[in-house]
Formats: sequence, structure tokens, C-alpha cells
Amino acid sequence: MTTLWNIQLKKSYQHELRSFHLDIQLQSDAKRLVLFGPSGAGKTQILKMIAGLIQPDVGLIQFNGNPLLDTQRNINQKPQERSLAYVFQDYALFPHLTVRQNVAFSTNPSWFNKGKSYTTPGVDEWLDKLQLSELADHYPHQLSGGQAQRVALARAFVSKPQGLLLDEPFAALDQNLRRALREELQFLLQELSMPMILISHDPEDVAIFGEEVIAIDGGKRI
Amino acid sequence: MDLESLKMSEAWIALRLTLLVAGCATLINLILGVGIAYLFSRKKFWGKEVLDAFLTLPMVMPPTVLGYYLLVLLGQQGVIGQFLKSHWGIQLIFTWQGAVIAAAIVSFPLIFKAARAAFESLEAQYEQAAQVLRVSDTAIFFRITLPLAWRGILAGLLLAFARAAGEFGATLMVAGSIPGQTQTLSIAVYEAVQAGQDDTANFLVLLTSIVCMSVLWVSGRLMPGRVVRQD
Repeated sequence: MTTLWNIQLKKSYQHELRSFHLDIQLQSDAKRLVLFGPSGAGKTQILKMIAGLIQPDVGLIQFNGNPLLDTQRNINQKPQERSLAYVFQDYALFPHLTVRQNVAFSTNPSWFNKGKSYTTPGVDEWLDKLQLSELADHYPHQLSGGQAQRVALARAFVSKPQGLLLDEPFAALDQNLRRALREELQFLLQELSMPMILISHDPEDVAIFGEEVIAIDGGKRI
Repeated sequence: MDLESLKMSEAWIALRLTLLVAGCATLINLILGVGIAYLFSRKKFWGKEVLDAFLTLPMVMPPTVLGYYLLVLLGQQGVIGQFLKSHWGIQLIFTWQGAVIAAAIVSFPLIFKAARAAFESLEAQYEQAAQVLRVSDTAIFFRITLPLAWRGILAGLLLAFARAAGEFGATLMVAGSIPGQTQTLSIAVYEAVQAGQDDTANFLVLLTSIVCMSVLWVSGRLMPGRVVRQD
């Protein structure tokens, strides 16, 4: 049987003041994998490499037996081909598009943005499911932190990904909201049974989402 | 038609020609300037900053020097001029198309600089977020990059239009001053003053000032940072 995640990554960063060496190897079958470590440990770098947004010096990434990256065999799928949704720490909602346009972004393959009324059944379904229907014509700057997170999740799910990458999804929210949204995400993930990697420095995230937890510091497993 | 109204109609022709020349020059720069600025903001290549300095040169060089270079290149004996003449029978010197090229080169840095700064100030994560949503790179440029950088580019575009409309030195050297054909407003003013036609000069100067003020007013309204932020 193939492993769900098979990841080996190496990259060296040279800065004027310090150098940073990332060297990570992990195999996991966990549908809920948490990379846990302090900020600056290299977690976001790893997640962006998995998504294809940053290139490692040397590396191998297999997801469900499918090679997304293999520097030895010269395989390097573009982020568009990897079928992995990525939720950014501050959500990266497109500021010039409404909530509905953000959520529907991946359903329109053309060169130009569709109008504010453009929608699909999938978009409506997710807007409804995450209680965003009434906010559909709002712009990102008009949303609260919790609402913005739900838009980011809806936008990710509408693209029908095979896996979900979450970068500190609760860090931008206050304590009470975090609790409620953790439950909501927990529920969604169960329903979709979608593999997920979440990175966090918050032990509570580990307690709830960590089917398997990998601790990282200084670019390495500890 | 008396002499006076003939002069006035010449002024309107000069205005139309000025807008045509500046409009064409701006359109050329919209495509070239924005395209090259995007490459500069996203790609690393050898000699990039030297090339940047070269492309910015028209902003600091005297227009007459530029005009001279253009004459040397585009003239009957010039490398490009000879090629165009022998292959397609095109002659650019002393035509309004020649004026367009002069105006385009002089105003190029204004769009290039503004567009490069606008592209470089964009946060990378918006484009990254679009990539993982499985939208092609071309679509990302038109749906994310360009709309987010548009205000900065538009401000540069209007400044370039104003600069192109006011072009004098290079245009005079390349296109000359043929009324109705290559005589733009700024050149018409010079000719009127030289000929002692104060009334025509006054009218032309007023017309030019109004055009320039309108362009600057619009460009000021579009400058980044002028909108009231909504929190």
C-alpha cells in the first residue's frame, strides 16, 4: 500500500546575518497531520514547497503515490496541477473581488474575471454551508476575521482539491472565535474526509487536529 | 474664411494632431511599458539594472539628443530607416508616425517606472493563492496582477500622455513642423511666437494649458494612496 504523504525536502537559505538549512523527511498515513513548532521553524516554507509555491534545492514529494516533485527524476508539477488547496495565514482573499467572486474564482478558467453575479451550484452550496450567503456581495475589507477565514475555506473547497494545506488558520483570530471555528473545521473535515496538513504553534490545534504530530524546529524534525 | 479664423482652425488641427500623437504613443507604451515592467518585476536576468538604466535614459537625456539619435537611426541613411524604406517603402522622418515614435520614446520611462513599482509592491501571496486555485498564469496576470497594480499603472499612463502631448525637442527634430501634418501644439506655439502672431500664440498656450491641467487633475485623482481607506 502506498503512503499518503512521502516528503523529503532540503533547502539552504543564505542571508547576510544568518543562514538557515531546512532538511525534513516525513512519511505519514495520517489524514490529519500537524506540523508543530515555534514561528521561524520553517513550517510555512515546508507547506509552500508541498503546494509548489517555493522550490526546494533537492526534494521528493509524493501524495497518495503520485509524484508531485522529484528533483532526481526532473518531475516538478506546477501548483495548478497539484490539486492541493492552500489556506494562507492571513487568508489572502483577493481584495478587488467580492466574497462570491473570491469563492467562485477557481470555477472560471477564462482570462478575465466574471461579474459579481456569476455563480455556480457548487459556489452557492459552499456559500450556504459556511453561512456566507448574506455576505456574498461584500468585499474582503468589510469582513471580520472569522468571516474571512470561512471565505478562504469556501474558496479552497470549491476548487475540489484532493488535499488541504492550512497555514496557521486560527492565528489571526481571538480566543473565543478560535474555539468555535476549530469545531467548524473539524466537522467539515470529517464530512469530506479530506487529507490535510495543518501547521501551527498552538498546542490546542495539535490536541484537536493532530492525528499525527511532527515537531519541527530550526528547519529539522525534533 | 478670413485669416484670423484660418489660424484658429489651424490651432484645432494642431490640437487634434497632438491628441492623436500622444494617444498612439501612450497606447504603444501601455503594451510595451507594462509588458517589460512585468518581466522586470518577476524575472531575474543578467544586466537587468543596466538595462533598467538604459530604458530610463529618455527621462534624463535632452530631447534634442534623443531626436538626433532617432534621426541617425530612422533617417534615409540610418540602419532602421534604410531597412523600412527598402522592405516596405515606409518613411518615418517628417511624418506624424515619426512624431509618435519620438513621443513614445520620450514618455516610455514614465509608464515603465510606474508599472514596475506597482508590480513590485504587490504581495506575492495573492498570485500564489490564485495559482493553487488552478488558474493559468496568463489568467492570473489579467485577473489578479493587473487589477491590483492598475491604479499605479494608470497614474504613470496619464503622466506619460501629458509628457507625450507636450513633447517638443525630439519631435521637432524627427518630424519637423509641417502645419496639419506634424505640427503639434507645442511646436505651433513656437512657430507662432517666432512669427510674431501673439493672438494665435495666446490661444494655443491657453489651449495647451487646459489640456495639461485636465490630464494632471485626472492623474492626481488616480494616484495610489488618494482613496480614503475603509476599515
